[in-house]
Amino acid sequence: MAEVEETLKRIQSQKGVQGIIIVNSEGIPVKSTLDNQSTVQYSALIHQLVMKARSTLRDIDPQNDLTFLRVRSKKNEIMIAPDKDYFLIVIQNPSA
Amino acid sequence: MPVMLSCWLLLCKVGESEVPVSTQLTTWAEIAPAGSQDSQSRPPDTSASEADGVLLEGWQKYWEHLTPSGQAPEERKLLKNKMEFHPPLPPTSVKGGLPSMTSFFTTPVFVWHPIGVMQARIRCPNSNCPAPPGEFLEKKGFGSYARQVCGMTNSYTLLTEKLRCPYCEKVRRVASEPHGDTEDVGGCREQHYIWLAHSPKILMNLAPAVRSMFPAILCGKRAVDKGVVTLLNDRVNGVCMSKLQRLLQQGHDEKKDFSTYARQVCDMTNSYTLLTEKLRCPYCEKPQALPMMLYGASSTLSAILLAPPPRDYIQANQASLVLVESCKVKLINLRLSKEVFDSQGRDVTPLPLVAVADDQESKHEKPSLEEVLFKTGSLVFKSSTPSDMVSSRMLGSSFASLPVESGFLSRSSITDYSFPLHDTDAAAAYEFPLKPGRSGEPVAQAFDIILSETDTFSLLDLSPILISEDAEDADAVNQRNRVYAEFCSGKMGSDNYLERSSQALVGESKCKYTQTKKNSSVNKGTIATIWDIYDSFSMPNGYREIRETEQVDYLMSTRKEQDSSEGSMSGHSGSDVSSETELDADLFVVKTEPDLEKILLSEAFMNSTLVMERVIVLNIFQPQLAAFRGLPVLKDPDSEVRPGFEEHITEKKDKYLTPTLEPLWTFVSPLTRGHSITSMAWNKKNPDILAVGYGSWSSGNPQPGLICCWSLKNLMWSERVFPCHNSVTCLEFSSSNPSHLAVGMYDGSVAIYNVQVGDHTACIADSRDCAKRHMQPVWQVTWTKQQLQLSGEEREEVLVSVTGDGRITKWLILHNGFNCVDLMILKRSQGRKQSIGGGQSKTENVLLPQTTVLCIDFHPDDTGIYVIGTWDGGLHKCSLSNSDHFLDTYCKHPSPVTHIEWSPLYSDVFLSSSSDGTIQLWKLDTLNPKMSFTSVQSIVDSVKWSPNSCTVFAAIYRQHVEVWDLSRSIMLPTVVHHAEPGLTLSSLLFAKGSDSVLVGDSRGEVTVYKLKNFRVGKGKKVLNLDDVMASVAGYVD
Repeated sequence: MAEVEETLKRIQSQKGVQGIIIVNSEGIPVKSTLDNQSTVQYSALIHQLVMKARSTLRDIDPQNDLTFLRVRSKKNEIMIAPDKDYFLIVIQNPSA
Repeated sequence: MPVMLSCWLLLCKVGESEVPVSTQLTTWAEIAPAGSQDSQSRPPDTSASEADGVLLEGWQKYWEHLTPSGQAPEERKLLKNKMEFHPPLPPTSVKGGLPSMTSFFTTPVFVWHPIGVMQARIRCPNSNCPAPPGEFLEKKGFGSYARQVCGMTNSYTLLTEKLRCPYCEKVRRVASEPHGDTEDVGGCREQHYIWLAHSPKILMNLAPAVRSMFPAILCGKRAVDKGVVTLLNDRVNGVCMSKLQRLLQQGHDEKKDFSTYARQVCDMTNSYTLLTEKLRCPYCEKPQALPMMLYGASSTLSAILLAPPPRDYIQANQASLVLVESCKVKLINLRLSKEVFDSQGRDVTPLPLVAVADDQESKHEKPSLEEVLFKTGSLVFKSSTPSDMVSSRMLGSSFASLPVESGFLSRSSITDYSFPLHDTDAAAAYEFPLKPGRSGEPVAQAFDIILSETDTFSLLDLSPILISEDAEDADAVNQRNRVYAEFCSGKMGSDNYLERSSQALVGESKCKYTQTKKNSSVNKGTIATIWDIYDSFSMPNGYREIRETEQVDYLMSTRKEQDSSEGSMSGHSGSDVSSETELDADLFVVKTEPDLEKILLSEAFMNSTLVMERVIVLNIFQPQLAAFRGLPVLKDPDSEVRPGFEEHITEKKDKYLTPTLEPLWTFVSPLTRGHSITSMAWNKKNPDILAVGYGSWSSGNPQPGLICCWSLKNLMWSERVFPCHNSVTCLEFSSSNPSHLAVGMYDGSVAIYNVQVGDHTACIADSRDCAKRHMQPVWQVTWTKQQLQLSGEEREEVLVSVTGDGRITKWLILHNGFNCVDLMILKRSQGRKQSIGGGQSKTENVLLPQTTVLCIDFHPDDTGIYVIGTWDGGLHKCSLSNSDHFLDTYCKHPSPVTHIEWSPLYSDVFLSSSSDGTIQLWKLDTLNPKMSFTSVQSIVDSVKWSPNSCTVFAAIYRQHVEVWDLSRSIMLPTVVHHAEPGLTLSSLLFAKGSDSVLVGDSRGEVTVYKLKNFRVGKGKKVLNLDDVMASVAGYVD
């Protein structure tokens, strides 16, 4: 537990990291470093995106699964580590 | 309209005189001719009224005759101010001779006095009447016509007063005077100004209240009481026959004993008096009350009245309609003798009942029917008219349908009465000659009185259940009727008897409507994706069930979540923003606390965070890593600062500049600060993993050390940190077990770590428990492949360590623990001697103290050969197969050899570094160094071959790093990189597949340097080294 917290703390302290959101399997944020509105928005939208991406992958090959999703954008990069029970979402601006 | 009405027998005479006597009351005068039947039956003071013909016996006190002269009978004046007059009751017993019959033949009288009694003001009905508005009709005597009204229980006589309009009379009189007519026209004139009070014109002029007092409905010839009409209306309107019958029976059927001589028998319309005769049997002393025949007649009458016996039909039990067809009842069949004689022969023939009987003259006349009937007054039913009886018998028929108009009433049927008198001597009929039979001669001169009725009309056919007498089951029905009649008759007398009819109701169907809720339909859909199907079929059954329940829970929880969110939304509508967020936050935390705990504790989440951290770091260090890999650095096209452009320029510039070491990044963490880096090793399998050994010597004593495994994927944080009990001096990865990391420590312990495991169980072997463990610091550990068998098929990598006690030890992980076998034990003297002269006595060697072995390296191709470097500067080539002797000894270094390394690309060549500040290049078969490199007089801590180029190596000094490229220069190092002041560089390592050098320093930092502008010829590596060596061979040699 402490180790995980520490890791999260480290992640947050990395350069350009704007926020960390942990979303449970239902798309409800359970932990966030962002403000409330952004958290809700990110978790709801990214939940859909991840579901779609995972569904796409698994439709192609049911034995495959989505392990990581990086969305690179002009302003930042959204990195999603999906799992059965949760999503870990980190928003980072590497060039910041 | 099948109304059967019999006409009155007594015809009304309309006399030519002014005194018309036409009512029933007046008939008495006719029946009894004036003068002939006089003083006995008539009041003596009414002689004057004989001419009037009105005999109102018993009523005289009510009337007053103003004009005894008898000119105008209408001058009679009513004495009592009332309209109904009832006659005195007839005598209930008759004593002596026959009483006057008139005392029995009385009816009530109703005198209609709309003005005299009611004080009604009646206007003249004439439309052209000249009377002023305040004037009304005045009364003018009484009408001479008396009308019989058929009442409920009695017939009564209706008299009325006359009304006269004086103004109309004047008009008429004036109009008729010029003609000078006689009074003959007066009657005609009266029609216009004199009215009877019960005429329709007058009645219509009356007020309704006054009009309702008028009791009868008058028709042309007949008059019916309103009560009868009402009653019969009831009958028609549904009152059953039995009710009517009972009503009548209650009033009429009084069964008293017959001891009274005169009985009032109530008929439908009239009461009639029943008189009987005392008969005395001369042979019996006691006279009998009544002959049986008379009783029979009486009962027959009653029977006729109540229930006429049907002759041709059997009346069913429930049928209430009486059908009588041609009921000819032979009422009386009396056989009476003319004279009655007693036993003594005296004539005991009773006197006639009526006075007429005494009239001898009339004996010989044929009496009229009326005479017969009335004189034989003992035959009581004759006292009333037969039509009464007939009509009373017509219970089945109805007066209800009687119209008020006279036109219908005039259709009276003819009374068919026949009294055939079989004996011409009518006197026999009323003389009752009860003479004792003279010598048995029948004295009977019998006559039959047959009352016959007209045909019965069916008013209403309710289709009674009637069957013919000839029918087969007629007897059974008769029997049943009889039983029923007996039953009824038994019941009828009791008080509880109540006859009631009811109609069975037909059950009606009823429509009922119910309103229900609208059927609501719900659409449900689901999508089955390929992977969902795959999951469902691939997962084990138990897990599938769990998953289904989870899905249900999921639905439930979402619903709850929605509910709570809705509730909170509604609750927040009125609150301000800050409290809303607080509330939301609270809700958020409370709801997700267990969820978060679960997620954070899961191993997968740790893995995710690891990956995420790496990804983030890689994002950050992407340019550096690209440089490290030798890849072109991709610049962010959107970044505003465009360093790529500048760098491109500088790069071009640098092309012609001297090679330098450019720092890329540093492996450092808070844990490693204060430690000195003693050794570094790349993982053999995964070249991205770097193991770094840390040690610290504060005030000369070794402190607990540290092993960190860094990954190129996470430059910010070491993936593994293994704390050690002592300072780490050396470490090396195994190549057959890539995760095994051998560690040598300052206290002489050797350990093997499994870097796959991150926790304390990573240490899979430790020599501290071994009895033969090293007591001196372990200066180097390395792995080599052991040739267990001569065939060489099965090779297992073993750990070899060299220590300060001169032992070269092979370590094995056996079933009983971590054990070691000494490959060789070096002796100082031996080495010395061998290095000096050659073969010496073995005894000396044994006794000499051990020397320190500082480094070892196995031949990369022939694993049986290895070279060791010792503290005293000697290099020894040894073989695994010979543990006693060196194969060769290379002597060049005067001071301790710090490092030996075989060239990874060029076989049989190795480098050695020494604390004397020189680097020697050796060939295997040559005991003298091929080359020697010296730049500064400083301790060379280590020398490393580049894994990429055979002519490149690097050496680390305390304060700087040198990179030599032999193809460029063999005299001077190509790159010299000085450390920061006060910093001691301690360890050096080339990166595989990269032009980079890793330098560890005393601060615990590992800096990665890029060899910039460092270009070596590729493809000719080996040749180059050969050429270099060849070129320098002569020089060196």
